[in-house]
Amino acid sequence: MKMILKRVLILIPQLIIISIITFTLGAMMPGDALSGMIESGVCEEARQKQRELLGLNKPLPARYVDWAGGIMRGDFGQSFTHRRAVSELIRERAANSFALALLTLILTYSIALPLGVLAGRFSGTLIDKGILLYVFIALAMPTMVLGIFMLMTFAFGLGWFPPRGSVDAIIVAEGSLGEILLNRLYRLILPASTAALVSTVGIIFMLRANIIERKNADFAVFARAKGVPEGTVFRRHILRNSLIPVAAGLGFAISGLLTGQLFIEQIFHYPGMGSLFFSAVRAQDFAVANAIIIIFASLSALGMMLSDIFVMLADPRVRVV
Amino acid sequence: MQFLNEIKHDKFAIISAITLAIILPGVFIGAPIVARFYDVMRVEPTVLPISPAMSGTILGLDEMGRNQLHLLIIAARNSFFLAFCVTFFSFALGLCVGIFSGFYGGKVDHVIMRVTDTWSMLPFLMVVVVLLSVFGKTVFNFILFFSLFTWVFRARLIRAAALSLRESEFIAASKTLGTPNIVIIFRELLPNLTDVVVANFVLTLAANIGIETGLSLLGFGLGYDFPSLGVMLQNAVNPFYLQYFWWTWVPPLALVVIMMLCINFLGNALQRTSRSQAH
Repeated sequence: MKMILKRVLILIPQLIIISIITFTLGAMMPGDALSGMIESGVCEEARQKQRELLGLNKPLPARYVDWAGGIMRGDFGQSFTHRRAVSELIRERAANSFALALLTLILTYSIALPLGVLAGRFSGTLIDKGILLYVFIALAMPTMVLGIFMLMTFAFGLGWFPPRGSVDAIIVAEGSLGEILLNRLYRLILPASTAALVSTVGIIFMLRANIIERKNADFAVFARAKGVPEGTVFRRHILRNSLIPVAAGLGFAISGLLTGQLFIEQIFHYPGMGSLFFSAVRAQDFAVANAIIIIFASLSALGMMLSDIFVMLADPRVRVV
Repeated sequence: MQFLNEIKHDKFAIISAITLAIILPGVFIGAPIVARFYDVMRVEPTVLPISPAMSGTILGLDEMGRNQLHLLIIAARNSFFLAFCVTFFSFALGLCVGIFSGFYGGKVDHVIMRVTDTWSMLPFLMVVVVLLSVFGKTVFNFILFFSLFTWVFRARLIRAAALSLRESEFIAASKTLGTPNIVIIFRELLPNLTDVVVANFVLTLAANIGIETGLSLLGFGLGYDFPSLGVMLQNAVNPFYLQYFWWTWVPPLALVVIMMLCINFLGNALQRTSRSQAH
């Protein structure tokens, strides 16, 4: 319990360092909260007065405190291209991104777990070799390239799925809630399965290696010597022990998932946080870009903490802190 | 030598090695030749790309009237070179920090690892995208920012390897003899890290080719004036091009996939060799 508390406390300096780095990044960028708000005709004097009022003339450390305090209250500043609060913009996109991430995660694990178990159980056979071939090819395929393949075959070639967007405009206007949800799900399938095909690779590899390593571990040999049938040895002893690291990797998977989504959202024109980020960078709207960076970084910090805690719970011998 | 023995039994690795042995020299020798005899970047807008059959060239022309074959050779060289530089510098930094942290251990190691932990939480792709758009999408900036934000991953890997080597008998023996640490690092530690470093270098190289392609493809990597495979693929996100002008995006796409597959297979063969040697 004390260890877990200690691990949670580490999160605080981590978040502070992340915020300092992000703030420095923001300070290096051209433009500030004022640059998009005022007309070009406003005289210099009024501009300075407004800057004073917004606290933009303070020294950097004071501005950092203001900025960090704002984030604590959920205020990420103003977007000058959209002329709205950044937090509002992000809230709109966050639900879309979350849906995509969730479906990707479900698909990833439902593909990776059976394949990893099969490859490990029957290592060296044709099944294992087939699965490994898939792993290598998926490893060599950049997300974008796979995305283009999927678009070509399933959207343009076969016409099964629409190539872009998150929901049909007509259905939003006229359909019932159930129809809207169904349409959203239907449009999520192509981007989510593309992302999943890429992200399964690591899990399959890890699960396979874990199982092979534990096949001849002392506890497995002992169970066999006791006369336990091989199937039971595999299920009760080998598989259980092999799944612990995989489950612990779930937290680490978050940062990979977020990065993967950047590309996926862009190629499928899916309105999530990744595409918001890219359009913000293109428009040089760095308040938005910065906010998304700090959110992603905090999420992966959180994910890493959860992973560490899970490992501590599953195996108390491990010292993470 | 051990490596050659290992890959003899690995059909994929042999095929990959042969393919790379054809592609890389071809591209690196071809690129200066093409650049000398043709003005590849000269633009003659033709509104729409012209197919190979109509233009009488092997891979056709793009909508700027540029010969796709010439562009492909130069782009492949640039992409490979760029990925190599990024990998090289990020490994150089990671090697220094990783060895320092792993070899000395203790408090220093603890602090360095906390810093790299936090550093690796930053979504590095996004940070690089922002920095590139602020400071300009030049080749120098690309290599600089990319190495600056990816070295942490190498440092952790090398630190783990160095940490386990530190406990080994030959290093303890060398220490008892009174060899200064710096000599131990260069004479005992580094040679024993070569296997791990080379195998991971190759795998990272493949991944970096993919990342560069992805970023440039979206228009956030390099600019139009530096032809790379990703820049050539920018057309492929346009459905119109996807459907009607295959020659503008199929060759670069195929080349990216082939290069990454081959380098990955080689890297995996290398990794197996280094593991079998370790045991």
